Amino acid sequence: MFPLLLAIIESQNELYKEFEREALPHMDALYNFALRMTGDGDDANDLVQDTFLKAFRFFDKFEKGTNCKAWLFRIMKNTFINTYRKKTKEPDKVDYEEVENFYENVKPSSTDSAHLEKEIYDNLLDDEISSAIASLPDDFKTVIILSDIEGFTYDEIADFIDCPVGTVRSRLHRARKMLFAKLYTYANEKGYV
Amino acid sequence: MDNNELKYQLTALIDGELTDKSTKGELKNLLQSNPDLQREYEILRFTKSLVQRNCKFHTVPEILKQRILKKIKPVENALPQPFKFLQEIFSRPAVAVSSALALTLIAVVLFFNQPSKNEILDLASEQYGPENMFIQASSNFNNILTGKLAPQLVTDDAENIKKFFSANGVKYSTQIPKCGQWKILGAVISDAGGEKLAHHVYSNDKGKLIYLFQVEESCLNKNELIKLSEHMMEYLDKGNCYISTKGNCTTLLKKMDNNICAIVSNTSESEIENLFCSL
Repeated sequence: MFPLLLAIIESQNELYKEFEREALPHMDALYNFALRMTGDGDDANDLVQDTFLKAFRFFDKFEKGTNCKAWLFRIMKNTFINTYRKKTKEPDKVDYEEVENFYENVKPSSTDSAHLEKEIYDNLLDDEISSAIASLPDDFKTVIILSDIEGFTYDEIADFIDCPVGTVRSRLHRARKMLFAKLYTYANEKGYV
Repeated sequence: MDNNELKYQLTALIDGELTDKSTKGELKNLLQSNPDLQREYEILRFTKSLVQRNCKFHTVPEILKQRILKKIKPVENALPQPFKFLQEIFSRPAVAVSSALALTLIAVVLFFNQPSKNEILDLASEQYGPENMFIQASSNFNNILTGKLAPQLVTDDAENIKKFFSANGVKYSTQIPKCGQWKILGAVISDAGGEKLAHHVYSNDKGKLIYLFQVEESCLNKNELIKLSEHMMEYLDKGNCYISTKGNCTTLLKKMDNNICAIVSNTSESEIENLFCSL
């Protein structure tokens, strides 16, 4: 009985060590994503915890040599959709056509990046930029966070959102335009423009 | 390439995701000749760099990390040592048969006496938060019953246990009370946020167990992972004994000298009360 028990516990222990090696290094990235998607520290904690507990439970199903980070993010996405999105406040609905028209009418005096920064955006606080991202619809917020904060490639994002790479590209394009329009509005309201 | 597709390719160019050299060249030429496209390119590039530069990358709070690790670890941090101990036993033919018989008998007796894990957790969660000493004591006791947590030191000598605690990083003075007919079985040291904590186990001739987890009061209050509510600490400071039974599992909290002790057992509540509340 005990040799058998030992064998079971040892196998659990090996599984844990492998999980520690493969999955734990991605905890920061997952926490960061959770925090931005839920917009709430407690919900982010719960989401990360639920994700890791599920991941460990199903770690024997994880195919060795494949992308563990992407696998963890998929678990987090499903957990988020099933549990946390229902709880979180729906972000502002955005009419993309309206954003596109607004965006086209925004005419900074120069297209030079340095000038753009000095003119408007240098005055914006980090929190205002984070709030602007948080107010984007989930589909757009997701691609911005994954691409520009988490550093995912288009292939990885496509895998995460279950869409072709072309969709990632167009969605990211639209997301950045929406974000720019929002930031411009913030800057305008603050009198920086 | 239609106008929209052209703009989407701009985004791919910014992200370094445009691999087709001819499309890249075509796009760069267009950028030089088309001010509207140039403007769009600059704005998109600027927006990306603004997010990258200004959005702080948050790291996971240490307390959350520890909580997750604690939940997924198959046994306590000290697991390898019990393994070594058990492996060593089975690797010696002279003692293998008798040890295996003795341990099997204990396991069979424990198996028929174990409470359900859910019962223990339900009891604990009704009273406290998710990580405190009370919860850990119940959880560890359950792990001992199910064989997931074995003693690191097997001895019936109280002094050996005290030396073992002291030599392995337990910084506070420990109590190993005598409990009538109960024999000391062994001890375990766990780790909570770097702090080494003392646990020991008794058994009786009926195969019942008493598990005692003790932490020095000031050490307990400083440790966010395991500390108890202020109300409970006040109650124990007055010399009271907190006792709670669910199913056939009794948990008792008691202050002994400077240590707060969580005692869990599958013997009767009255026996536990008699053994520890008068100390």
